[in-house]
Amino acid sequence: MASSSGEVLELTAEGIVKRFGDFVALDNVSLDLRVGEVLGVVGQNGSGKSTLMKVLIGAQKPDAGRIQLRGRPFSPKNPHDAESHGISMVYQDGALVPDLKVYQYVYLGREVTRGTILHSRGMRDKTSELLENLKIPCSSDDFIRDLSPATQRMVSIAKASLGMITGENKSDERIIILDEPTAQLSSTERSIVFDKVREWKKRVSFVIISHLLQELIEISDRMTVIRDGKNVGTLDLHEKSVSAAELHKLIMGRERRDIVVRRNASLTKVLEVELAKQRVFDVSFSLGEGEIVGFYGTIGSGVRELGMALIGSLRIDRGVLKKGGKSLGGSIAARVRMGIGYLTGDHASQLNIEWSVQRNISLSNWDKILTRFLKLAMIDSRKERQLAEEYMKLTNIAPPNPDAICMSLSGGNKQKVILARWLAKEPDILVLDNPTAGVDVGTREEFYRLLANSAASGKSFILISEDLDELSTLCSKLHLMKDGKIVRSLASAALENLGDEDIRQIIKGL
Amino acid sequence: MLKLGGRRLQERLIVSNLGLLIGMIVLFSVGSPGFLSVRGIIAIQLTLVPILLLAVGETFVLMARSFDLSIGSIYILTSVFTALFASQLGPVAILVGPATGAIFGLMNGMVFKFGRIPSFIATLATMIIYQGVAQIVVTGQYYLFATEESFRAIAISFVASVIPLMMVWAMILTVFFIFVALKTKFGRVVYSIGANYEATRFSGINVMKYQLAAFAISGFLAGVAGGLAAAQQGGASALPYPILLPAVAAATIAGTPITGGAGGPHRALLGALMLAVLTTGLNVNAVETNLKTLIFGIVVIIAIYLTTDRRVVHLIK
Amino acid sequence: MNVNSSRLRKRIRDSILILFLVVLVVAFAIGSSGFLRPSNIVSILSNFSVLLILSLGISWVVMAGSLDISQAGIAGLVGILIGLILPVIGYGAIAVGILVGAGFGSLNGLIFTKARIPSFLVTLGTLFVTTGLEKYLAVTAHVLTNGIPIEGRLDVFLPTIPLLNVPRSFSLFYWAAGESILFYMISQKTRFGLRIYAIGSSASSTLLYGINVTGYQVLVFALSGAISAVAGFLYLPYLNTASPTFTDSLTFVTLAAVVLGGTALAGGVGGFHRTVIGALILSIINNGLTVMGLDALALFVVQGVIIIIAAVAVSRGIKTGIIQ
Repeated sequence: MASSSGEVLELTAEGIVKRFGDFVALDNVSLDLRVGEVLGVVGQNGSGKSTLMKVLIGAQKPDAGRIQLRGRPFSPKNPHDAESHGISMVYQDGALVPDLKVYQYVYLGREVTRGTILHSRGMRDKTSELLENLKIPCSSDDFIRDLSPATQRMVSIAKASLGMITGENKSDERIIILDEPTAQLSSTERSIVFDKVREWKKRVSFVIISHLLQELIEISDRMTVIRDGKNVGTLDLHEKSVSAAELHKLIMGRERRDIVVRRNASLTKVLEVELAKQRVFDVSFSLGEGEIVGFYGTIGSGVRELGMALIGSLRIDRGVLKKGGKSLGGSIAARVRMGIGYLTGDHASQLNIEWSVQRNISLSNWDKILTRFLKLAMIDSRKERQLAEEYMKLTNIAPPNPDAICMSLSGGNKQKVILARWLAKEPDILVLDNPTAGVDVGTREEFYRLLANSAASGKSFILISEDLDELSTLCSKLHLMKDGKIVRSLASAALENLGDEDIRQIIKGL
Repeated sequence: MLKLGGRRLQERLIVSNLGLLIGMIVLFSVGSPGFLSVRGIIAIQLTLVPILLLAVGETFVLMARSFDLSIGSIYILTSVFTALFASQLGPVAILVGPATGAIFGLMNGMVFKFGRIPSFIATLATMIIYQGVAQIVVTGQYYLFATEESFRAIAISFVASVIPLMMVWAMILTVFFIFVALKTKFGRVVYSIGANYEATRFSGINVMKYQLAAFAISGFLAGVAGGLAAAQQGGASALPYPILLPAVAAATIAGTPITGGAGGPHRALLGALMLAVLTTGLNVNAVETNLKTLIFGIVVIIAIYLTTDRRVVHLIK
Repeated sequence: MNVNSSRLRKRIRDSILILFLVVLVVAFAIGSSGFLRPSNIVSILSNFSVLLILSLGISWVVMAGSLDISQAGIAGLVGILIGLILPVIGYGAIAVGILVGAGFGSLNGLIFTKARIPSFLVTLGTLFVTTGLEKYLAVTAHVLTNGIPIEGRLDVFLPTIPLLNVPRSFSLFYWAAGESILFYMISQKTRFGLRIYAIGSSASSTLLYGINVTGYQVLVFALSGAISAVAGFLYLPYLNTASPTFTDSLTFVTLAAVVLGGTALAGGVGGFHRTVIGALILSIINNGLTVMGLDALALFVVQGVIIIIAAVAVSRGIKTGIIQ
């Protein structure tokens, strides 16, 4: 079956409809995938792209519509069934099993046995073959938990393509859907994963869901944008190059708003850092009032360790760490008390997921919700409510219900809850470590706006990120780190004039 | 699908357990008029007090995602200490229990924290140690008498002719700790530790302080129970007393998950009430000894089924 | 990241374990000449066997990421039950007993998976119910056998081999060793074992790969129940007791043996070899101190202290997951 342009179609979905009660998740969506291509799928959280993928691999049954796989009707009963037909999905975070060995993990669900005994040697060998074939740098006997995140991700992809190698599948071709394959990975790791995807393209067709527009543009052949359950456009990147801004517009349905950030260096120094010759980094810098200073570095550059050291979760041997002239205390609790906060994109380590939004926001904002009664610190529910509502409104958390359990919120909204907490706390200095990882473009915009506003009112931020777009949008000063040292610092004037490409060149040159 | 009517669901759960409780009371009193007599009500309270105090203490430890196996031993050890000082200190001796209990609780916490070993093992070890110490203390005497009138009055003098004073102390403490758990910063923090240790740490809280406090509370309440026991019985011995399992049951069957982060002492109150009513009811109705344990088990299962907050499905381990 | 770190850490932990055991044995041997006497070794092995047999069931469940405290109850119940029906249907009673044990275990598993009630609570309830049933039946049993202790009937399972003069307690050891080895093999070499580890490590991921997680969970509880049943008819005659305090303490001690040896309560890590070591350490400590003629009173205290030391040496910073 061929499309109008003569390309062979691997998979087509037409008129897919899926409802959850009253909510229409997929509204007559269509999608097609060509052989040997990488199709990027983008869209806001809640736009329906995940649901669409689930329908494609049989994890959800559509209410209407049909799917064709290589010209033949395809309606998978479950993911296992879909897999035997050559289409599988690698879930966000890879769906890993940390305590298994690589070969055990790869074969989980289709273990090879001789009678009741596992044929370990056979599986081990085949896995080694697979690993070598795909040039993945680990051994079949390594434990999943010991691998680097990038390698883990690659192993999950390898697991998805196992059928292809072992010839178990009914067909030769293979389709792999990657759901946010590079979330939480550093940029070096991301390029490793994407390089592999390019290599494997010859044998596998990929559908990649991601929020990282720039990278997706680089690796995709075509891109489909899903918005409100509809396919609002498929762009062929070979015919015409697409910019992130254009994509942004398609995804959001409107233009991207400009964010105004103050670029002038402030005179008041709020933070002085001189941490020479620490184990993992050797830096010296200062932070001014109302400034947003950025740090860019790949894994091993020490940039994340710097963030942890600032909040107190990483011990520093000696050096100067002064806030407003006073030395900072050692523990996290002490630092927080002195006005430093820490926010990461990894909400598992910051959010009490079974709690309500209200209680998560009030966590650590004790002074705002307590009343003293005979030396006991009592929680005043009215004050707590007010605090929650105020900051929920500010950060535009949806749905606007303070009692909503955080687990039911989308990724972006979860991040907003953490941001709300810290905004309420109003620390003089907030350290942000990849705060918008895995967050959709709309939410990211809101984040940036909030940060810019907060900075304008005098709060200072240290932004550690691997998103150059983010860094150049927000920062008045950018430090590039490599091997634990600051190798280049770009001031605001320079940043304004440089485009993303230029910065990338500078980094490549390091 | 997570419903947002959280509070209503919780209320429904408590109501169904309350219903069970009331049902039991009705059943037992029908079975034997002696159940609701003065003697019967007193018997319920006597059973209730130790289980309640221990359960409330254990609840704090559970909330902080740990486990305290030593409460039974602390109960015995503190009762022994109290009896020891009863003759010299008179009624003031009642304070020996809580004081030493808190110290033992703190020791539990420190072994757990500084040894960096699972609380399970730490308190298993201290359970054995405290039992041993108790036996050393009573060497040669088997039973320490503490018959001083003024001392015993603290537990067994009566209020309103039906309520022994020890019940009053127990209820005051229970209400206090329910308040602490639900309404204070301390309580909220302890819940937070159980819910997500990392997140709590990163929000700027000195987690160790609170975990130690949880163990101290557990020990303190066990000590109160021990002291009251010595006063009530007029003495103490170091014989092992199987109170650990009922206390843990009371703490957990009414809705505090073993994984912590939810539930609370108010649940423990309900659980302890149910166990006490059940035990006494079975006794008063002269139910055959062996049938007793069986019925006990069945009712426990029903209670568990009624109380489990199945909203938090993914937590189930 | 050091790819070898897990394996290295495992090796270090295992060496510390062995070292600790050796130190313990040497210390006790020095402390008392009677420690290494054959009769004492037999004594150690018997205590060890009892503890181990009961801990094996829990090991399966813990590896799968859950908890099971109903062992002692099921064991006691099945013991009495078998004693009652043995004269009626002969060795068929074994099958009945195991079925009953597996039945209760499955009940645990079903309530856990279907009603979504935490495993600790479910098995707590089962513990109460089975203990109650056991006591109830014990009376009946007494009546039916005209006062002859039930326990005597179960001697068949623990034969003494007159020729070799092997005492009954040694037979218990063979059972324990045999079961341990069998389960070790199953856990390491079969698909079932691998999947149990996977479920313990990450049930959600395992589910995504098409494995029937709830099915395996029910199975593992049933298995635990069956193992407890076997323990029941084995140790009842040997110990001659079913007192409440016994049940009370044994329940948690078996769990401690599992944790001490290094099987994480979070699941997915550890295994039967670890439970064996944990049970061994606890038994040696118990026995060694008694043999040293330690003042019966100081016995407890020292025992507790040594357990703490053992834990610090062995389970320090271990992945705990559910309970810290």
